[in-house]
Amino acid sequence: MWAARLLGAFGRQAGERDFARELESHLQLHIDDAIRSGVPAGEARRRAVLALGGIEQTMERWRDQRRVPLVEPLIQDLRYGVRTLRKHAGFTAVATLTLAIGVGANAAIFSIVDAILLQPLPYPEAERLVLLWGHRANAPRSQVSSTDIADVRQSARSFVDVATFSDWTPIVSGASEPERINGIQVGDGFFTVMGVAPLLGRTFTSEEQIEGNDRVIVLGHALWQRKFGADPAIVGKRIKMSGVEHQVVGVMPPDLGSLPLTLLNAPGEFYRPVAEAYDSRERASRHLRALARLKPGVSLPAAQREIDVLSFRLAQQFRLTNAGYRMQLVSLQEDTVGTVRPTLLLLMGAVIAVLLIACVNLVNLLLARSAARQNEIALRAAIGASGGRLVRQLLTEHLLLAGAGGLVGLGMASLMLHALNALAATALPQFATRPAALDGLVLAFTAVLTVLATLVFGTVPALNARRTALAAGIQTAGNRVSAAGPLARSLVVSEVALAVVLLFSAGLLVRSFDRLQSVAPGFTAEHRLVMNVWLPSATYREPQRNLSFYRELVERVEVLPGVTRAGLVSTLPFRSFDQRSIELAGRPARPEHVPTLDTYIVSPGYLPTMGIALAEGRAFNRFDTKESAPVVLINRTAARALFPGESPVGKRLRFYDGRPDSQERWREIVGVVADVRHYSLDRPATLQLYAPQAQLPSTSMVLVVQTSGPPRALSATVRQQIREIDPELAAFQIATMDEVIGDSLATRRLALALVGGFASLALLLGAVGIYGVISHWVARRTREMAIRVALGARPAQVQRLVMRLGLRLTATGALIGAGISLAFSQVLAPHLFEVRAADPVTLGSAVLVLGASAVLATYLPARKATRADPVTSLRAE
Amino acid sequence: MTKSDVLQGTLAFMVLKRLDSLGPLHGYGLARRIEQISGHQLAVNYGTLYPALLKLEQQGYVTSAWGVSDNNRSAKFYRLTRAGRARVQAAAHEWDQAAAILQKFLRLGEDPA
Repeated sequence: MWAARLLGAFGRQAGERDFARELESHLQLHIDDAIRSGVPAGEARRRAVLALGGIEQTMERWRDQRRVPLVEPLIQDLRYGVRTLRKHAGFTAVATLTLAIGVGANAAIFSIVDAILLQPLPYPEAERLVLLWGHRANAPRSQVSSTDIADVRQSARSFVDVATFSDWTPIVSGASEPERINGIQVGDGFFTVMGVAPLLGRTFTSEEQIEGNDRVIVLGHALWQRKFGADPAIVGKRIKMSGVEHQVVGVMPPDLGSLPLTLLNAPGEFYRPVAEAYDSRERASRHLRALARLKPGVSLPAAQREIDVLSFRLAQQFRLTNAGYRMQLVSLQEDTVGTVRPTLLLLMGAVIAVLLIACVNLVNLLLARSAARQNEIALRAAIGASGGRLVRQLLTEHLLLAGAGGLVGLGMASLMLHALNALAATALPQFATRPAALDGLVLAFTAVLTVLATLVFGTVPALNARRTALAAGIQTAGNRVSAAGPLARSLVVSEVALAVVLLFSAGLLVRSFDRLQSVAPGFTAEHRLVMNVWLPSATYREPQRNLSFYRELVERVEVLPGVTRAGLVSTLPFRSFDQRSIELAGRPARPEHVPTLDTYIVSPGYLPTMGIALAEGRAFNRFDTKESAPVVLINRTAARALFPGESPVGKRLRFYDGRPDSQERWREIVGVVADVRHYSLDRPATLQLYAPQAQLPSTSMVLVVQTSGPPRALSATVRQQIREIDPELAAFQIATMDEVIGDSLATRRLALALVGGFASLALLLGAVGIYGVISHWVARRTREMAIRVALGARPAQVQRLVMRLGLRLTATGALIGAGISLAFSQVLAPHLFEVRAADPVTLGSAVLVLGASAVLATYLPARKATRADPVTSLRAE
Repeated sequence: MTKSDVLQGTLAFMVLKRLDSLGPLHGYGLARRIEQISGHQLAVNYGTLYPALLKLEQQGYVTSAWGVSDNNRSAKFYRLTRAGRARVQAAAHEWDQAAAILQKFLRLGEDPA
């Protein structure tokens, strides 16, 4: 019948011809009859046509009828479907939401995981890129020197090329307002390593890596468009960077994205040469990073072996600088993704659990609905609705449901993807500009799965009833696939178990985060405003000029209303770092075990401004100048490590450059200060060293201002002070110290929010699932309950009966869930801080929370059971 | 419900009933038969039958096939399907009920018993 209608569309012409033939046959039969009654032939035809009502009119009416039906039943089905869904709004809402969660969350998570884990880096053949890290026993992932890398470049056969790189953030003045722009200094061979040819102009030559010839830059594509309006004649133009004129020699295509944020402080928008000569005396000057491209066919382990041989040779040749030091290769992909992967896997696990729970609920819901409708469907079948029609109606209704769920799911997926892109962008800057899109394949796959599930579990059980009902008369109980039967009950148990696992995981993360947040960083973060105030080396050549600028700045800032005090530091905790090797007086330096300390060059006001306490000796004062004896402070951890059991005050140290005739000055330790957590809250304090700014001038200092009120309120006034001293300067990376620490927790916080969200969802779904099953169980047993009450059972007893079932289901589920949680607790361990993975308190709380919800979910139907009037229930049968 | 709707509904029923009682027949024959049964009170155009027949066919209650009439003319014959048979019985039941209810209403006006 449907086929006929479909064919009707195709065989329109044939159909019309056929009908014309039929009309002609009709007329002929009429004419025959008329002639037989004696009407003359011509008149007979006229009368026949008249009786018909006109041939053309009949054809037209016939055509009308043909056009309608294709659409009409479909519209009818749709209307009927919508009406049914609206009538049971509760069911519709819950089912839609459940579907949405399944489809949406799934699609979002898998899209981002696919984008990050499978295609994380925007460079050609990125899987062949490797990083070279310096490695010592006490400093596993450290920076390298240009001299070492130059040797690698010369000797190693495993690489297409090797290049160094580092941050550079000059003030760029040009066509528009001066601003600080983040760039990357790159060594010789960088663009060969990256494998991208310039869009305009050229890249750097080897000669341009020599100081003096290095006033050249290559622009990144985004910067070229943003600040220079995609000027096609940009090559050859000059741009002032930090007061020095640089010439643009090339522009890169959009293919070359910035290096990931795990390697740089901020995404780099342009390039300039590193310009460090090969100087064997600077072998220990390790402030760069290095990137290399493996030759085709060369594996990472093979390259590592070659590097090890080279490292060994260098250690022998240059014992002072390289003993105990080697270089470690790490694939760029692994280095970048490795930080984010554990969190992503955790999220994937959580979302799969939620998906399973959602599916269980959906199936139970559909089973319940089908069971309820069996009577209705049986009745309709009995009075003559065709099987095809019924199926079509049910399918339409469920397709509507699936469609609604899918749409809502799509919305959910978009929202979730937005949050996940933010998470990804914390490590991979390309996610900020090119966020991951919803993977169409995943979406389609999930959608198809859930639609099929909806259709199968929605229509099949309902239609089953049609057959049995026709045979045995309309039944009132004893449905084949029941919503309270063993299938439904075991499904509920499984979803309870999953909910417990999720709650437990979320609980662990919450406790972990809480512990982390309450870690004392070693300095006071509240009411501290920070900003980078870097001086262009071109205009601030003499150290005295730097010092006087910074001194004047601090003086001016300290008298501002709302400011308590101010200080300067070269490396702000949580933002950047500066590791330097030292040697101690009286102890000959063993090159294999050169201590490395986080070094801070500070103004006298810094330590009080940050609230870092003095433990021993004295702090810096204004008498520590260039002319006076060089002094330093070290922190407690360094004191304990370097001078166990004795006071370090009075001892001397100096910076270690690996030269036997070192010109480095000895510096006296005049005091010990409290520890500071520098890298992250969960990493214990490192060995730390403070030196006075007057004795080690620097042009890149961070200003820290202690305010009495909200720190940001003073941002404008402080920046004003900077401009008043030198209008060419601009501060950047302005924030409060609270924010800086908060940023370091951003990833964890986001992951926690997501997992917490999933856990709450799981709890809600689990409770709904329990409620559903118990309700149906009660409904099925109304008769039995009624009889019990009629025979004298008290309502409380009936209630207890129901509660027992509910609690039995919950307990089973909780037990299984607890078992799974403990078995897989180690999976969570990398995410936790000072919280044991198999923490019994958290597990207990999770079970308790679930238990409470389950009790409530069971109690409500139990109460309804007691209220059932035995008389009406018995009569209803 | 307009007059044509009533007509359509009754027409369809009459067609089905006729096919049920006396077996397959062509469009012209059905038209004549209905005219006879209704005692010539329904003076309709024979043409209105054909859209109705088409609809019945689309709904799956009848099927059609070309055949040969009594006087050796080729004509398209309509016959009832299983679904059609069920439909007729259900519809007959509905009409009976409707008639009975209407009867009651009509009698209500007569004696208050």
